[in-house]
Amino acid sequence: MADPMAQAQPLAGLRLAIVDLLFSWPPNGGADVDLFHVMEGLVQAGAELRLFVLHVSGSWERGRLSRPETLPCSVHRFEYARGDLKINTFSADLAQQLRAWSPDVVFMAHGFSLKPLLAEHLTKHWPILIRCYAHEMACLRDARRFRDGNPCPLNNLRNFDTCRQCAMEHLSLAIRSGQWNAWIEEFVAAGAWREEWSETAARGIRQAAGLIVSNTELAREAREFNPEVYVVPGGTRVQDIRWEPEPPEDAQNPPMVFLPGRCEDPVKGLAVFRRAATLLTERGVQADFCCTHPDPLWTEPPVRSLGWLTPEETIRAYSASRIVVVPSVWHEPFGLVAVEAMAASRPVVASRTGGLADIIVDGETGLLVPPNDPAALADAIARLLAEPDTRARMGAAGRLRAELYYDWEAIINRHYVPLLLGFRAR
Amino acid sequence: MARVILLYSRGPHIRAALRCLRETFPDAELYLFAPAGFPGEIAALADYHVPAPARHTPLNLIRLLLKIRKHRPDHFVVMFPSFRLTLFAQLTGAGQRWVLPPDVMLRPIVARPMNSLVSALRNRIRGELTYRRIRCEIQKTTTDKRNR
Repeated sequence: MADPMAQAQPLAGLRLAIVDLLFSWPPNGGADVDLFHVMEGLVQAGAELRLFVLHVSGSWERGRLSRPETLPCSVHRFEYARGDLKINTFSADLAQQLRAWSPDVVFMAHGFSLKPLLAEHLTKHWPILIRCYAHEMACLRDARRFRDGNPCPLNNLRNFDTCRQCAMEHLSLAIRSGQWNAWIEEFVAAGAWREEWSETAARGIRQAAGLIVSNTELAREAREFNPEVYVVPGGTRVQDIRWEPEPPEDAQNPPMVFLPGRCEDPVKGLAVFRRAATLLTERGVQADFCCTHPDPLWTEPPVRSLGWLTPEETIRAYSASRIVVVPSVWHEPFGLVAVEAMAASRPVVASRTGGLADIIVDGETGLLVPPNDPAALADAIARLLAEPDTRARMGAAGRLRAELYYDWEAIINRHYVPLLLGFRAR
Repeated sequence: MARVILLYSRGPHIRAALRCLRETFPDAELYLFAPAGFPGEIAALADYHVPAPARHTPLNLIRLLLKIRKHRPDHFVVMFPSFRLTLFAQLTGAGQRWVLPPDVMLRPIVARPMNSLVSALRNRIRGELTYRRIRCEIQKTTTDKRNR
């Protein structure tokens, strides 16, 4: 008979070092929240964890830990003065701390140009797992890999010369201003414009024990550089999102069609949503088209902004809506808002791209449309607005799918535990 | 009663910032300086909404500064720790100056205007030199490659 303790804590005895170059707590963004849930799940699964983070004085983007006691493991913070962050020093400091703790495996979480270099340095001593959150390993310009209004097909490991020229065109003003954000800070510290960077980064990626990406499209590309690629989605606490029935509809309250997330970023497709909303309004479709543009003064009829919402307010907005739209025009690495909307039992109309194509089952939990196609988006919204039964069916199917595949407990047990068990056995 | 002024500057965390100030200064009069037409539901989180220019031209900034000084704030709060806003805060004559960035952690502004200016100049020079070095290195390696 199986040992119940071993079943409850399958990772007991595993020492996992997590290195995150951008982590802050309370969180700055989705990657911090993602890592928090992963750490929490792995500690529950019995693994012994230590988190190593980086702080550069004056930067609010990384290493701010105002409530470290609420984290599930202990934290070591590397401190550098602005301008003192150098790959060789940091790499040596990190290796020294890791040697003192002696982990079985190192999990490289968020980071930009420094991440593959650190992986290359550390891979001589420990197996390294590299988590990719967006396109940070493929693009030197920014993590969105988006150029001239379209997703860029180039990869800096393949097209280094073109990519570094593009990066310099895009970053030159910010570099010259001296007000460097985290991306530029790492770009400079890593010397990411040098050919040595490209060679070392490629070696770091190749020699890693595995790459973890969020969707199958990214996995296909990543296999070109390392065959050990794992697709691990992000998640949410599905049980925390209560199912609410659709709000009643009347002349005062037309059905709400909701675009959540950082929609001020052009890659999120607000312009496409607006064109679709205009088409629907011209056709006489009555709806309240809403988004979460952070500037409360923003208004571009027929779309209105609810302003920036807290996570709790966002959940309430899902419940108040009939349909949630995610019309991204970039290769969306994951698409957490689609998962949250499914957990709130709302059908999702999304672009057939990146993680969204994995999350949404077309015709079952929502509708997938070609990216950058306002007419197709308008048709999909109109169809769902006209078919309450389809909305209800899709909403229920979405909730079930979110519970089965995108709840944190399911993600830890289905993906992280089997992946890390292999390292405990080594 | 203490007087707290928050200057809106396109921060997505405006709601959270107003709530934070209300919690931190529960008995204070809370003024929001934000452009006219600012959504009422957000402005309602403050006690008073004072219209501020949407465009920050030098003349507008001087007018805004005079308006703020007229209110004699005990606390003046900006939403980002930029050099310009920090300097602006120093000139308001407020007893205490604070920055409330997107992480919604209220921090006192400790920098002096002269220190801020020196630091901004130092960063600018460092940025320019770094940029030239990178450009030079890229040009050199690209030419070397063509010659090979």
